[in-house]
Amino acid sequence: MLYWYEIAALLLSVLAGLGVGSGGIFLVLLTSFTSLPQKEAVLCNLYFFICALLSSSVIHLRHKRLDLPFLFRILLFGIPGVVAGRFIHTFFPSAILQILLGVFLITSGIFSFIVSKKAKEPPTALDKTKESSYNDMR
Amino acid sequence: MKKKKEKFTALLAGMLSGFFGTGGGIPLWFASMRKGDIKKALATSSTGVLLLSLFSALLYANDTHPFAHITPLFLFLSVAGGAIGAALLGRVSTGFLKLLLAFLLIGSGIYSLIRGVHNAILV
Repeated sequence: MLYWYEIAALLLSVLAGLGVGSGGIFLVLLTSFTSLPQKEAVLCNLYFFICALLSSSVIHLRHKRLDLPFLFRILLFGIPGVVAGRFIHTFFPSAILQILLGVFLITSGIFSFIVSKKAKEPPTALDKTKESSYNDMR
Repeated sequence: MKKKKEKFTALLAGMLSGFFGTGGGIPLWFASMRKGDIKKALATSSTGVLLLSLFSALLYANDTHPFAHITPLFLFLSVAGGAIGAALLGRVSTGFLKLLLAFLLIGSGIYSLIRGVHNAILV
């Protein structure tokens, strides 16, 4: 039997694999529509992220799309940040965490909106086909 | 100066990942985009989030009990979806998807905010 959160995991992991992101939405779905406490929902969300991004990262590595020096810096400076964030998390009750998550998601959404307007897209396979057809016609 | 900004971004992304158990991708994306290659930026930021999520999960799993929602099918579908997404990178316009995600994030954020305020008032 397929559960709704498994279907949601599939759809959102496609977005995550594309690099577009989606984990916050899955966390909100888990806390809203299941009886999971906040901490367990966060852990489930992290497992979802790990599975979705592990497979996509292997493909990105094969296609040499990764900026390895920057990834090394992410590891070196990100891990202390993770520890600090987790430590600070323990001081907040669940309701306050939900409010802060809401503010964070709204901010992320606004940034994502700005990015979608500003980012110049690379030509997709369809664009290249159209360009090639146009050149042939000329 | 650029490396200092990258270090600060990595620290910020780690804090977001550790605190919320999600996120961190957007600051990493902005830092990666400085070099201009959008595919590389998307790939690097998502792999960066993976690395941070691994450590976050270790910290959260330390004092959290396992639960029934993590089924083998759930794990398999997450892996499959991630692989599909990575294979589609460069073949699908991400601009529209980012716009869609923006609306989903804002909607989820408003919902989470309302629920949080409601729960805070009840307590």
